[in-house]
Amino acid sequence: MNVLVTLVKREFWEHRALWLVPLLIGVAIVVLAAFEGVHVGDRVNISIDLDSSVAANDLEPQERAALQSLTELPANKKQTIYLMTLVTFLTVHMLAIGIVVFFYLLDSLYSERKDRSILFWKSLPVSDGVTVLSKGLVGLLIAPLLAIGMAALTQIVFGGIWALKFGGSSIGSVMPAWDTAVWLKFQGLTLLAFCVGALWYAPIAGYLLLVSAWARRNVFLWAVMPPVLLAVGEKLLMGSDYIGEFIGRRMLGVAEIFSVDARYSSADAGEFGAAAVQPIDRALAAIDPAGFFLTPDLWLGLAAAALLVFAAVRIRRYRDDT
Amino acid sequence: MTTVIEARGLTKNYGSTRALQGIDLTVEAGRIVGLIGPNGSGKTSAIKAILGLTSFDGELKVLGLDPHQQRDALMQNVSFIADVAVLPRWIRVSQTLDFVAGVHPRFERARAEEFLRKTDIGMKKRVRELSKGMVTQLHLALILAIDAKLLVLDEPTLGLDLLFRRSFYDTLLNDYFDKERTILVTTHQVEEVEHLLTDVVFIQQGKIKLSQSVESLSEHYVQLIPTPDNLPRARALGPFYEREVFGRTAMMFEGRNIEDLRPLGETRTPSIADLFVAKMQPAGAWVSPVAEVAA
Repeated sequence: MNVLVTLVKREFWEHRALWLVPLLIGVAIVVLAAFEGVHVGDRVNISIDLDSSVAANDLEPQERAALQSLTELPANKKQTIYLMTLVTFLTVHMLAIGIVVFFYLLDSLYSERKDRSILFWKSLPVSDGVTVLSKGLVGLLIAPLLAIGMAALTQIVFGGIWALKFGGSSIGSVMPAWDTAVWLKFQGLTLLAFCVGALWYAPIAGYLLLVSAWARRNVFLWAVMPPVLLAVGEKLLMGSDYIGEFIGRRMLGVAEIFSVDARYSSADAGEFGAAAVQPIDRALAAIDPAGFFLTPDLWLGLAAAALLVFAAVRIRRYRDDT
Repeated sequence: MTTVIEARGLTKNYGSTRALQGIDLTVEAGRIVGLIGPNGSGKTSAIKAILGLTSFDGELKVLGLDPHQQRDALMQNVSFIADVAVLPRWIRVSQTLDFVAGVHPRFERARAEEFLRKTDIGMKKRVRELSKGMVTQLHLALILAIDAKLLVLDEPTLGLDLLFRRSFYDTLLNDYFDKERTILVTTHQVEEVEHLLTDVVFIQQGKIKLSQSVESLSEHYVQLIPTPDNLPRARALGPFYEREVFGRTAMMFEGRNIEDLRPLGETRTPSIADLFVAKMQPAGAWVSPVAEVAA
């Protein structure tokens, strides 16, 4: 156990982006919230100037009307607007950490061969299995969890700034600065979605680890080109699109459960303002990652992930090119 | 006496290149063995096999374990410094200590810190900020603090200046080596390790040319510098190597009693470096111009 903890720490020493990026994004959001306008979602676009007293009067008539209608929303719909800020911050954090983890996993078994430090790591009593496992664990679980934690912290600090800046104003009354029940429920849903996401993306992580352990150079090209060539080749030769769809679904399929905005705002794109906002109960009910556990694809993917990681371990263990 | 390394018919092929051609090697505990050979002789392949870094054919047991199958278990008791500094460049000095302390049950952190205090290496420094000599010192500090049974050094002082090289080996002898420990060191700078070895193994083209304890060298090998008039007689005794030094001829004999040679000129036990040069010549190639003229 101590060994695994040390190995995980090691990853964060080497790949500082894993913790720096969530931290910087959190700081950036907070700084923007404190000193700049705040954009919350697509539908409810509230731009607020530094001086909050002028904000409402500077708006276009249509926007003023929309804002007016928002201030008059019932409490359970204001909670939904609050929920949307939570979703937004989480989404920004998760997109960023997704990109960071992609490059982290690609580099994780490659850089040690490139700089030959693998000879040092292998001079210590740590098995290849635990080593590869620690990297998969960091990429798939620990780094995203850290980002989720940073998103939660961002949400809290943002709430504080919101309360300080707009407490008592009409803009402040559009959305509660803080709602413990909604925040907690959302964190619960986030963790559930995180579990689903980790399982869903496990085969991609395994694939990246395998490429990282295998490629002699150009890990990025080796990771990206085979799927792209397969998909394009299929399209050209057979005219069909099975591979492309398969890969696309694996990459983005999990977003189906997270694409909540379409569900808690109304289906009619023409609506604007108050009518577009659903009550909090329905909004929360629309986010239901639990159903994803029943998808056979999830478990098939997991089996593929196990094989891919196993192959990566074997390559690290038996390859001799230092 | 316990056997630390036991190899029988150790073979390693890279494609059609035969890096090791059936090596037999036994290393007992408490020895300092120099594995000496020219570049490309198979030294590194042998070291890699012993450390479990590569597959091999034939039999090989290190501390009773199969290195390739049981590398992680083996590394509890084996330490290793590779030819060039392989510490990752991004790591901090303090992090190397944290890491080894976290994964190695036989690492005594205080010892490494004590050693580092005697150097100019700052704890907060990253490896990339250290000089090559300092990186080697750092690696040595880590190794000294690990209570291992076997230490493998593969060209550990390559590219270091003389002061670092000297202090590296001095530290190794004074602070590390004891009767329970075994050191296997490869180098092509024979003079450097000559004085500390208890055993020498010469390796060439994947084969072992000589494997002997240093104290038994004097029983087997004699270097003779015959007086000019004794030259034909000395040559008749069948030296396996001769060369000209400052106009005089130095001959190397194997399995000759030193008393038989002493009347012919100056005799002495050859240095390991001399012996290495003599043994590494391809068979027959030693024939000197003098010998040709004589014939």
